[in-house]
Amino acid sequence: MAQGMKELRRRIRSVTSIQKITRAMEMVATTRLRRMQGKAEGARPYADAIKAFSALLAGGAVKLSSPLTTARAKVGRIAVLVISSDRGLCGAYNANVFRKVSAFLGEKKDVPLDLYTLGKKARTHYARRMAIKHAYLDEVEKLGFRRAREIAREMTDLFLKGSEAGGVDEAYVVFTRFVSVGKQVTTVDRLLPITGDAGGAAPNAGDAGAAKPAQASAQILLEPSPQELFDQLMPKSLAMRTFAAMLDSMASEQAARRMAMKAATDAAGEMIGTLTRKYNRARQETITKELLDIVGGAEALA
Amino acid sequence: MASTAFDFEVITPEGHAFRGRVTALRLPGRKGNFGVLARHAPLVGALDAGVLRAKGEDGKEKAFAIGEGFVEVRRGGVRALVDFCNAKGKVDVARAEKAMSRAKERARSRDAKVDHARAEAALKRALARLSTSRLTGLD
Repeated sequence: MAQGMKELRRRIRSVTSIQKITRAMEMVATTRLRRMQGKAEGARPYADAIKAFSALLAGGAVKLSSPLTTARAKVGRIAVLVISSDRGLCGAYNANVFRKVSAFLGEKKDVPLDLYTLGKKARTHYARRMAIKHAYLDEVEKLGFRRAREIAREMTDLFLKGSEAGGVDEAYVVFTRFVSVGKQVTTVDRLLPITGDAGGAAPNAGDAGAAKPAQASAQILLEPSPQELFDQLMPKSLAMRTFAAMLDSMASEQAARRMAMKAATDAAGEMIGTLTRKYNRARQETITKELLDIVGGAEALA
Repeated sequence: MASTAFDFEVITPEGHAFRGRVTALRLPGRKGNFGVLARHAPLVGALDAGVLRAKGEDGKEKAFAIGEGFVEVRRGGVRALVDFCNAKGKVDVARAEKAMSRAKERARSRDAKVDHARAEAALKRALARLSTSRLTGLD
């Protein structure tokens, strides 16, 4: 019996220390999540203003278009940018991203594609499964707008080249949209060509706010011409969407990690409870047995 | 005179870089620098990387190095949307100098692979930072 008790004590100790680690990781994820949410919050005014500008320009008399908003009749090749995390222990976060990618590839199986990865997990996952056209080696958490702009520009270059010249005809990003602390949705978004309300290219931006700038634009000086403004706005809008996808993914990763670590901490607590009960029962049994021995011995002497 | 001041904000993808009341602005427009005072006509314009100057209500002028972007002048105030915005004291001079010499080299090279438009944009950004850091007599 003493042997079993020693074993139980050892297991309780090891589960307790694991729980300490998962609890610490949960707290780290909580603070990181808050920081990422702050970043995402900080990016919102810019994104909103870009959208408002697009609506303003789209509301003008001249119908604007740019190469970036023009869809190709035939899609010969597509680019897919997959955003994952660098580190594990975040539940099904990465698995969900990969599943989304597989589903998307299933839809597009007739079109050859170039895979771009962001984050160590996607890189190592696809290294053994399919050809990666290019793996961005940046640390996901350190990505800033500068980097988002560069990546968006690389996608733009590919798109402008077109599939016949070794580029692509469409570009997509797979990332995890951060809805709330409890809800993250794996999403596929088309980066290029820019269409609909995403870039505000379509003049029928149907929200209530769009009507007002349309009227107002007649009295607003535009410098340089609307077309030139539009040409400068589209790459910005694209860079911002790329950046937003990164920020959303970062926040989602931390939220997923926090959930996973909380579940692990709770499970460890339960396990400690069960083990402690077992240990106490074993201890009680030993004591009872010893008492019986003593009583038995005393009776024999009497 | 309170009526000559107006609201001004600078927004970058990383958040608000400046928010406050000013009396005069100097902005690096795509087609040259231009000034904005209170009651300017509504305007939407493209901005180049360059130096932004803003005069506060206390009469002190502040300088910022800004990246490419847009400016929107409305009756209520002025809003600038730019790639980055560094206050004069916050410019990383060493990095800007390095970026400057790299961009110069690229702009000069005859290599067909070099994208000259991009090199020029990088040069403008570096120049914006450096000239902001060298301004004297303001914050």
